[in-house]
Formats: sequence, C-alpha cells, structure tokens
Amino acid sequence: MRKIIYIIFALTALASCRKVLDIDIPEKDRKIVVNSIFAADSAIRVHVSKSISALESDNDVELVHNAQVSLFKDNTLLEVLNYDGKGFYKSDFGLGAGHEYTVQVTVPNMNTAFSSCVLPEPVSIISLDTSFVTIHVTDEMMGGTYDVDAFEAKIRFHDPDGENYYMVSAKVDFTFEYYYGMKETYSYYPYISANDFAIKDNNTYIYFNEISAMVFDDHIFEGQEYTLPVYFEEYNFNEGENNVTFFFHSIPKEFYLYVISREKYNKSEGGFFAEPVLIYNNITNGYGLFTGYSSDSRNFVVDYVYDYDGGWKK
Amino acid sequence: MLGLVATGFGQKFTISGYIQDDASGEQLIGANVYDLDSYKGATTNDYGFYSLTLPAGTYRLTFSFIGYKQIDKEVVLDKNIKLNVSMEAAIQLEEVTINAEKIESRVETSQMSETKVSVQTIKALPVIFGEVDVMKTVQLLPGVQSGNEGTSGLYVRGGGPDQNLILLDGVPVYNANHLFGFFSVFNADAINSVTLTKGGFPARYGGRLSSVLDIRMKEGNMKEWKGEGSIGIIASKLTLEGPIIKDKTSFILSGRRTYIDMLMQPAIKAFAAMEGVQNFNAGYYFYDLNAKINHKFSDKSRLYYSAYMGDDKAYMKMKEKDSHYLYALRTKLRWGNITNAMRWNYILNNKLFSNTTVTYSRYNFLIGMENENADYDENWTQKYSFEYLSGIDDWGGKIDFDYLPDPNHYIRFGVGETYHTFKPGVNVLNFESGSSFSIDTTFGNDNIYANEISAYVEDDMKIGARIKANVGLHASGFYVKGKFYKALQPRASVRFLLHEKVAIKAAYSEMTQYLHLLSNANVGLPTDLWLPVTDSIKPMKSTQYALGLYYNYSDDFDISVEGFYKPMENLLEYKEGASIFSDQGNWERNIEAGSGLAYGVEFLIEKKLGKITGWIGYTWSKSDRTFTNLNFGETFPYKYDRRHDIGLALTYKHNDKIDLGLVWVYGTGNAVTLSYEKYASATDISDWGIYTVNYYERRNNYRMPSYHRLDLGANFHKPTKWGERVISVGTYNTYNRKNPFFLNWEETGRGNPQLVQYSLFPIIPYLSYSFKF
Repeated sequence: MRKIIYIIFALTALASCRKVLDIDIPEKDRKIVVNSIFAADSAIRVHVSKSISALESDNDVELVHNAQVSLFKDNTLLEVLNYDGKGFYKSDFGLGAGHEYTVQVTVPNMNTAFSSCVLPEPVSIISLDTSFVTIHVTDEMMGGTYDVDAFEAKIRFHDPDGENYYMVSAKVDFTFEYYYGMKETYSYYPYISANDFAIKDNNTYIYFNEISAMVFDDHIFEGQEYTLPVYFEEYNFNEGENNVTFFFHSIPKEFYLYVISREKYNKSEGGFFAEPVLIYNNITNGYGLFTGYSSDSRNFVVDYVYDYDGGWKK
Repeated sequence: MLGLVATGFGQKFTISGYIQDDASGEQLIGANVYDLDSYKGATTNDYGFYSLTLPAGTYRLTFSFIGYKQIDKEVVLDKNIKLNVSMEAAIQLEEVTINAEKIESRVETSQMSETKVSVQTIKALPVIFGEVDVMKTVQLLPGVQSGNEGTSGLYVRGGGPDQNLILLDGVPVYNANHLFGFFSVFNADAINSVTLTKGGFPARYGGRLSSVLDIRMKEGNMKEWKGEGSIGIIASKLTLEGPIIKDKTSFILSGRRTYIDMLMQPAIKAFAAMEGVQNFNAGYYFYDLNAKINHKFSDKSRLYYSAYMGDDKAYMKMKEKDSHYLYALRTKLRWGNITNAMRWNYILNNKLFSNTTVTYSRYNFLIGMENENADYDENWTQKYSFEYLSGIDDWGGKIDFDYLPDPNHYIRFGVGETYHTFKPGVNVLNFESGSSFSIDTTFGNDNIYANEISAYVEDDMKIGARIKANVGLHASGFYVKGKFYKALQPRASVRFLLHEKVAIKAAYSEMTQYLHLLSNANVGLPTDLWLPVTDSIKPMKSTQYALGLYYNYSDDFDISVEGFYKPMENLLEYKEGASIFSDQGNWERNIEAGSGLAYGVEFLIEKKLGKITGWIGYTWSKSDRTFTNLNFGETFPYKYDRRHDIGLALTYKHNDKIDLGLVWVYGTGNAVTLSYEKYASATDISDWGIYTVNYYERRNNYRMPSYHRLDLGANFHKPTKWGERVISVGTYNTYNRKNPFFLNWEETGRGNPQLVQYSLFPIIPYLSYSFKF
C-alpha cells in the first residue's frame, strides 16, 4: 500500500501546476498621467507621463515631452507651463491659497486630461510647546507596549467651520562642521508620530518630495480649538545645534483620500491575504493626483547633548 | 375492494407510530404512509415518527420509502391505533414500486429549494483522494458552489460560507473543514441523511441567511452488530454499530484518521538530515470521531446522545544540542470542533410528538510556538513561548413539538435558547531570560458572552386538492453587551398543482443572522473568526423570493426550474488593505458593512431510479456587493459571483459487483481584482526615477479562467465470508485541467511582469479498500 501511495504522489508531483496567462491590453487604452503636489506660494511643477501595461516594467514609463499644460486660476487661464525636462512642466509664479486651480493637459492623439483643486487657506498655529518625553507605544501586531524617548510638540490651532483636512511634518537642519573647518548643512524630515484620537488609524503616513508627514481630519474637534501632540524619536537629533521646524499644513480632501488609500495600498500589495486597494485619483480622462497644501510653521533651535550615562539630554 | 367505508358519524381516529428499517431498526426519515384511495397521508419526521388522523373506517394504507419494499396494510380505524412498521430494503431495483416515487416527487411537497442527498449516492461518486465527502457532493447541486479548488465551503445562492447553518444531529458545526477546507468533517459512514434547504425556509430554521444543511447521524443497529471501514490514500476509517440491549439500546461509533504524517516521516527525516538539522520532526494529521447511543424506554419515550469530536493538528519540532549550546523550536497549529447533543423524544399523545434537546458545541483554534536557547559556556538561557487562541462555545436548549391534528395540517412549534461564548483571539506570551527577567502575560480581545433566543410556529397545510402551503413565523432575539436585537421573520411556501405531474411553487422567507464570520477573501483558514453582532455591527438580514416549476416527467425523472431573488443587508468585509493579521486588539475597526444582491435561475433534472441515477444541474446567477467604503461606493461582483455553473453527477450500477460514478463540473471563473495598467505614483516621482502603482479599475474586475473538471470512479464489490469488500479506483481531474487557484504577477528575466496562474490539483488517481461485515 505504501508503495502505491508513493507512486500516486510522484505522479501528482509530475503534473505541472504553473501556467503563464496572457492578458491583452490595447494601446488605445493608454491614459495621460498627471501628477502634482504643490505648495502655496511656490512655483508649481506638473509631471506628465503615460500609463503603461501591467506587463511592462517601471522603466517603460513614457514621459510626455510634447504636452500642452495649461494652468487656470478660478477658471481663468493663468499660464501655459514650460517643459522643464524629465516629464516636468514648471510655472513661473507661486500659487496663492484660497483659489481654485485647474490643470488641463493636452497630448496629441489622446483625450485631454484635466483636474481641479482648491488650495485651502493655511490654518495658523496658535501655540507650539515642545518637550522631551517618554512615549508608551502600543504594538499593534503583537499587543503590549514599549517605551520610546521622543521630542514632542503640542500644536494648538483653531479649526475653521466645515470639513477640513490637515497634514503635519517636521524638518531638522543640522550644520556639520568637519575637523578641517568646512561646514555642511543637512536637512531631513524625521518620521513623525502621534498618540492622539484625532489621528484615528495607522493609514495616515505619507512620504513625498523627501517630506515625511501624517494626515488627519477634523471629525473630533470640528470648529473648535485643539491641541495635537506629535513627536519624533530622539535619535533624529545630532549632537550640537539642531534647527527644528514643525509644519502645520492645510490640505484639500483629495490629498487626504489619496494618502489614506496609498498607505493601504502599500500594506496590501503583495499580500496574499488582503484585498487590493484602489488608490484615489482625481484626474478626469487620466490617472494621477493634482493637489496642494498651504502651511504655517514654527522654528526653533535645540541644542542637543547626548548623555552617555542616562540617555538623551537637551 | 374494500375502499373507504366511513362510518358517517364524522368521528376521527389517529394511526401513529414509527417506521424503521427491518434489518437494523434504524428509524426512516421521510418515509410515507398514505391511504391508497384518497391519497391522504403523512410523512415520518426526523425521528421516524408518523401520525395520520382519518375519519373512522377501513383503509388500505401503503408504507413506502425509497430503496425499500412497499408495504400495504389493511387497517380498520375504529379507535386510535399505534402501529410501528418495519420495512425491508429492496435488493433488486424492480422491487421498489412506482407508488413510492409518486408521492416523493418534488411535485408533491409544499417545500421548495430542498434537496435530499442519499448517503449511497455520496459514497458511489468519485472524489479527490477517494475520501468520501458529504460537502463535495452537496456542492454539485444547482445553486450551490464551491469556493476555491478542492475546498468544502458552500456558497449558496450568492451567499457566503458563513451563511450556512450546518447541523449535525441538530447541533451547529462552526468549522466544517479539515485540512484548510479540502475535506469536510463529516464521515459518511456515520451518516443517515443529508438535506439541504436553500430557500423557502420553514420557520423551524433560523440563524443563517443562505442555507440549512441538516445532517443526521445513524442511530446504531438495534438488531445485530455491524461494521464497516476503509483504507484510503490519506485516511482510514472504521465504524462499529450494534445493540447494547437488543431492540432497546444501540450505539454507533465511527472514527477516521489521516496517516500522511506517518507515511512521510522517513522522507521528512531524510530531508532534515540532508539539510544538517538534527532531531527534526514535522507533520500534519486530522481525526474525527462520531458516537451515538440511543435507548428506547418505551414506544412513547426514547433518548439519544450523539457526539462528534474532530481535530486538525500540524506540528514542527526541532532541537539542536551539544555541550556548548541548545536551540529548540516547537510550533503547533491546531483546530477542531466538539459537538454534543442529548435528545429526548416523547410522544405526548398520538397527535403530538415532542423533542427536547440540550446541546454543547465548541470550536477552538490554537497556534503556538515555543523557543528555547542556551549557551552553556556563558551560563545563559532564554525561553520564549507564544500562543494565540480563538473560538466559540455554545450551550443550547430547545424543545420542539410536531402536532398533526388531521391529514391537512402538520403543525410544528418550539422554542430555543443558546448561550454563546465568543473568544475573538487571545495571545499568551511567556518570556524568561535566565533568572533575571521574565514576562508572563495574556492580552487580546476579551471574551464576548451572548444569549440567542428563538421561537417558531409553522403549519404545513393542504387547502383543497391543488394547494399545499407551509406558512410560519420565526422570532428571534440576541442579547449581547447590554444590547438586544430582535427580528420577526415571516416564512411562506405555497405549491399549486397545475396537473398531477406539474406544480408551481412560490416562497418568501426573511432570515436574520446574528453571527458574522470574519474571513479573509482569498483563502479559507481555521483562523476565520466567528463574532457576534455588536453596538456598531448589525445583524445580517436577507429576504428571499423564490418561484419554481416542477415536472414529474416519469416515475423516475423529476425536472425543475427555480428562480430566486435575494437582497442581503449588513454583510461584512475586511476594509481595503486589512486582513486577519491587522490590529488584533480591535477587530471592529478592520471591517466594513454593506449590502448584497443575488438572483438567478436553477435547472435540475434528477433521475432517482434505474441503473443510471443522478442529476444534472445548471445555474445562471449573479451576486453583487455594495459597500460605502469599498470600491468608492460602487457595486462590485462578489468574489464567488458565478454566471454559469453546471454540476453533473451520475452513478451507473452495472450489476451487483460493479458500479461506476462520474462527476463533471463547470463554473465561470472566480472574480478577482487585477490590474491591467500601471501609472506613475504621485508620491514616487523624482528626478532620479519613477515608481508606478497598479490601477485597479474596480474590485473583482477580472475573471479567472473557467473551472471544469471530470472525475471518474469505479467500485468493485465482492461478497466475502464475513461480509463484503469494495475496491474503489478512480481519478480526480481526469483530463488534467489546470484549473486556476490563484494568480500572481511575477517578474520575467527582462524585468517585465507576467501573470502566472497556479493550479492546485492535477490529475489525481485514487484507490481505496473498504469493507462491511
């Protein structure tokens, strides 16, 4: 009996169980891809490319050099952007908050793609208090808690009436002096975290243009004054003078929806157990994201000295 | 010709009793007794009891049951009569008379969307690894779909696998799977009857939206000792039954265990040795055990105790040790059910039958890991252990009554209560490092306790010669964490006889379900969690409308077509990107509630008698889901939305020595979410490069290739001195169709992705040896 069973298993193993499937994606289905995340008072850059087949690699992305990219402010043509290389089109002016901006991208032999975004007015920081703290972090996967040494900022602001969305980030500038006297400034955006009900789940992180940030909405403090504690871990400091800036950004709903879906997408891709996630996009006749943000910030210097006996010390 | 000679005074008397198998004393469920002249009759209930009230007179009564010789009896009904009838199994098919079939035809009953599957058919059909499986046979019926390749889950009329009430002797079985769903927990040798109801639900059933699979275990032979068993490729089983006190007390005991772990042991050890790992051991097995004992106190009183116990266990152990160090690792994965039912049948009078049931069931899932490290030179040791436990415990009690005032009414009523304990996942962590540091902690979700109550009344009534109806009301309530949900669920099923061979039926049923199964869409795992409704998670509800036409083409052919329309509310899905492994402390945060709609048409041609028996079923159906926060609020096809589904199951009895079986299935491919396009991600564009993201047009936008498969089998019977032996041979997936199990994007050598389909089972031959004595 045992021999027979082995023979049956051997026969089973011989039959191949892998098969490559063909899926056909016709060329006419290619779409214009328009991407831009712009900051108030800065010149806008719009990236234009074409979508690719799922059977192609990232290297096959075709950048569009011959598009006409028109920018409208409150439905009036502001300018036609100039090509700046590598698929980017650049404006000559900074964009002001409180206006609706529309981008219209025309590529020969393709449907014109367009998208609009209202750049929200910045919400001012009323106060910002900082301190070195120990944070009890809950391990979401395994349960239990652990402690981290962190630098915390309590950002106080007044949420305007209506639906509002926010993003917070921090930046550390550090000037390193080499032994031979030369100075070099490094800037980086530390990974920012929050232990607060306003930031309701973990799908709120975003990393773009080297900015590491987290987004949240105003469902908890609608129309009220609120203090949001955020922190980054102490290891982000260098010994010496650290120039720290906390940014409090106002973002449109589209940006918020994009971040939430993008983060979930990251978690689900390649996972056998999770359903794939559709990333939010707001381009009509195309794919991508056209959105912006306006900001208020506070800046200060942290003179950091590492205490080798007892951990950190300011 | 005796005919019907009524006394004329209108006085009525009742004839009642049990109908049983002559050889074993086993009660026959669904046997018929009727008056040959007026066709007034009754059917035995789940315990073999019948009651027929007629005006005083002399009657020619016929007792019939498929596969048994018909019995005709002349009865003078001038007083209430108690008559127990023993029926003899028909050896030759010709002995089964036609009349039996007439009354059992689908045309006759008011019940629609119900199918009884005989255990003989289940055993005769070919199946993977030759392991006879109730659920796999049920999957061949129209309106019922399997999920993934080879699995035992049922997807009935667009519903999910959690929407089926699977009852073993009246006790719910929460996880009916062995080996990740490839085998069901039901051992066919211990089973007496299998009935699937997928619509027009009688009021006595409640608690699930889509189907009721009522499996009754054998009672045990009252007359003599019998046994049967089999030795197969992956498992062996043995069943023993017999009288403890002849005609009073009997038992049945049936066990099954896989032995692939034992067979593969040398190969595993050899492989481990090749890899240089000492003391390595790994394996997987499952077992199940069915037991039942019943005792007849008198003709009026009978007690049954039935139990099921089954476990799956996968394990891995390894240990490396020398004089300097120790490394030991043990992992285990274990899940299983226990069900217990104590039932007491008591005939209060010849028109009123009662059944009191007390049940206990439990489903547990456990995953565990132990790790031990030591460095003897440094005098250092460390131990770590982790366990994750989840499950559900139920204590239940119910009392049901069957009241048969006259042949035109069959009234059932009853009440029940279940006390649930949900264990949604507890982690136990133990850590020791030398003598200086230790953690011993338990964390995770707290147990949830809930009470579920139900009451029902239904009447299966005849109105004139053409109309038969089953009308009822099921009321239920669920109390959990201070919140009480309640539901009144009206049910009605009506048959109108257009012609003696043609009937039209319509049914309406509302169903409410207080339990949800949190399950990942892609695979059926024992980690799937049963959870109750809560403050924020409402009960699932469905309303099903069904309409059918039934044609009794000939004595052995039934043809039917049924349509259904089933809206569903408060269905659960994991949030996009969430899975069972996300945020275990708060499962409610990971799910979304939405609605569903399923509709379709089912065709069935069934042949019950003759050398060739079986059925062919075809289903055209559609099943959609709409969730506010999934697919941007737009409706999307359910993963198991299957436009076309065909199930062909045939058995051919060549002679007493050889019978053949054939199964062919075809189904539209499962819906999966697949990207056809990619585009530059807004947050991944820089001067140095671009990363793309997949564009998903909508959820479940792609159809996997269709599924089809042919299984062939032959059973060779041979009488022996001690009984009978049967050799079964066959092939699963005979023409080696590469059916899709899952799809995966993979990189080619040039960096371009390609879509690869993985199949699970190629052609699989099987061989098994079974015996009866």
